[in-house]
Amino acid sequence: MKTNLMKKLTVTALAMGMLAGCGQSDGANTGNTDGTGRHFTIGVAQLVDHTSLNTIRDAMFDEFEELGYKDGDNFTIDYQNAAGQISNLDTIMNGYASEGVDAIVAIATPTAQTAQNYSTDIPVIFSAVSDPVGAGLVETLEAPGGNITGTSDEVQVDQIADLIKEICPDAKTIGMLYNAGEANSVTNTTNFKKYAESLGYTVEEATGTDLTTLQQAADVLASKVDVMFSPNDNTVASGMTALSQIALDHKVPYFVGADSMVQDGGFATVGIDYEQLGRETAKMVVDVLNGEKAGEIPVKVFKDDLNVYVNEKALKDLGIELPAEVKNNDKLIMVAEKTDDQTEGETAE
Amino acid sequence: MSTGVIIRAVELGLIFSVLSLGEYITVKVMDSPDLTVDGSFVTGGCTAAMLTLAGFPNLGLAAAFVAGLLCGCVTAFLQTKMKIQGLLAGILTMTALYSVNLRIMQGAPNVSLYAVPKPTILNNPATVLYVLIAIVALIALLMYAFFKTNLGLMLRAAGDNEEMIRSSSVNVDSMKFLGFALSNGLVALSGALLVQFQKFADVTGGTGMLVLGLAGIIIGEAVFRRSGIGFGLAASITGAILYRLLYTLALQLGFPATDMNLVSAVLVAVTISIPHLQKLKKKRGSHA
Repeated sequence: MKTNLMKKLTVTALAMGMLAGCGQSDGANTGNTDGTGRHFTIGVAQLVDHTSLNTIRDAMFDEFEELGYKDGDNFTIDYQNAAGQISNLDTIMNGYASEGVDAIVAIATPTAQTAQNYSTDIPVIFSAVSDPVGAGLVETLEAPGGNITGTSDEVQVDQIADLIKEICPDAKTIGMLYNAGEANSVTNTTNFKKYAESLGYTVEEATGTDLTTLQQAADVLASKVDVMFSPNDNTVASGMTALSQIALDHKVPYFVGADSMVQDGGFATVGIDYEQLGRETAKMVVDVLNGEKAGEIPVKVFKDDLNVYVNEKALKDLGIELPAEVKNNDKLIMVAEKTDDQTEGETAE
Repeated sequence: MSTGVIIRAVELGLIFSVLSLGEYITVKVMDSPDLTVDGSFVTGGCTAAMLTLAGFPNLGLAAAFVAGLLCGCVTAFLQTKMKIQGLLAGILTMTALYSVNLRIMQGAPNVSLYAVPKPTILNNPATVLYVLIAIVALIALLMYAFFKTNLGLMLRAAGDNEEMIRSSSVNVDSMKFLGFALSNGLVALSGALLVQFQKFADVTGGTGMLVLGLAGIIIGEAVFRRSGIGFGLAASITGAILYRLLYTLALQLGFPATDMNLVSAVLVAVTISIPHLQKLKKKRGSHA
């Protein structure tokens, strides 16, 4: 019995030690000192690390500072990342609730849905949600209702389809490549298909759940279609270097849903810049902290004056000449070839 | 930690204790860890989500359990009738379930339950703790009673010594069907409870569930250190709740959540190896 107790103690101590030893209790609970020069605390939660999501987060933090909210100084940001496990999200939100944060910023759809359960007491501002209405977060984009609003990274699929028509006037079939397990991708591809078909295109679909299956799907798809398209799909984005090479091997222009994907080898996109998305989110957070009701702030969707991104190397390799209306567009950004030391990720070109 | 946080952590812990109880059957009783879990957990969630949206939240929980039973049967079938090695059988079912889960949710990878036609039993924050305690207690009691029946004893015996039980003309294959089915049924029920609790279902929600459930069992065992079904079940529940409390505490201390996967894995590995390390120590002691 004595040894039993010993074992118990060892394990408990071990567990506690492991947890406590690594933690840095920095007194994040300074909380909100009411009165003059109110010190705000916000919780920022992200589901998973990913180029676009990280860009949003970092741009948001920069914007806070530029607006005069300095983390650790007159402002506290409690940043948490769920490491891709949805089951961790509620515990993170629960922590925010007990800290008594003044607002929760939720990056990506499941994060926002978990935060929504706490929105009766704490205003929630989401970012990188493609379809806030479909995700049950808001009633309408114009009047969200409840205590929640945010910025949407809805891909402007109509404009991308228009761009395909401008750059590749002879194309007849478009192949869509995506992971059917991602909510955002399903929304975006459904919309894309509807619009592209109205323009007279035949649309084919191929899906995969990981990089291996996506590569095979890309290979088959590229041999059948004139043009390829992927939305801002997390799985596709993480394998963009390899996937874009497959498209290139088949001499198929590969249109994508995010500027970061053009940087990684995709041919072209019309889209928001995630930096701007992050900054707009920060501005919204500040508005809410200063007393505006989250549920009354319209969800911000980026639709007008979007940049056109074209990958220079892909353009050259495909031997495509940009039409005048694209060439003379002052929103055109030519994305240069990545040099070797900039190349990141698992696949070399 | 404030009481609110602790209660919320306990509630989540109770939901995951159903997961641990399910895994207890395969890991401890049958001695064959089952990777179907990462898939069947989501299957339960998806099934419950669709029925909850249709206005049948409680039927959703029951249907989730049944869906889980079927998932377990598939794995058992692969293992016993197709002679596929245990871990691989689980991986195959889990992989297939991804497609099935998307089908269940009619192609939508994410379904919101924020506005539902009929409130679920977990909708009322004032009663949710008691509802969960009741559910978990009922499951544990039923399991305890089951393992004392003839059938339950045969299942345990099959896990202890397959050859012996085969020679006493018990159909070992049927025992595997029974064990995997019950285990995954509970796992799916846990997924269903989580979906109703967090008010959305996501097809990627099963990541890491096997280790999470295992962590609950292991931590609980380390605390109880007693053998026997009763203690095993109690340990699984206690461990799952303790794990959630530790996790919450870690977050409150500012420990980055991205490192928690590593911590869980180390925790499980170290705890599992403690008896072995002690044996080594004893051996060395007796030789000295």
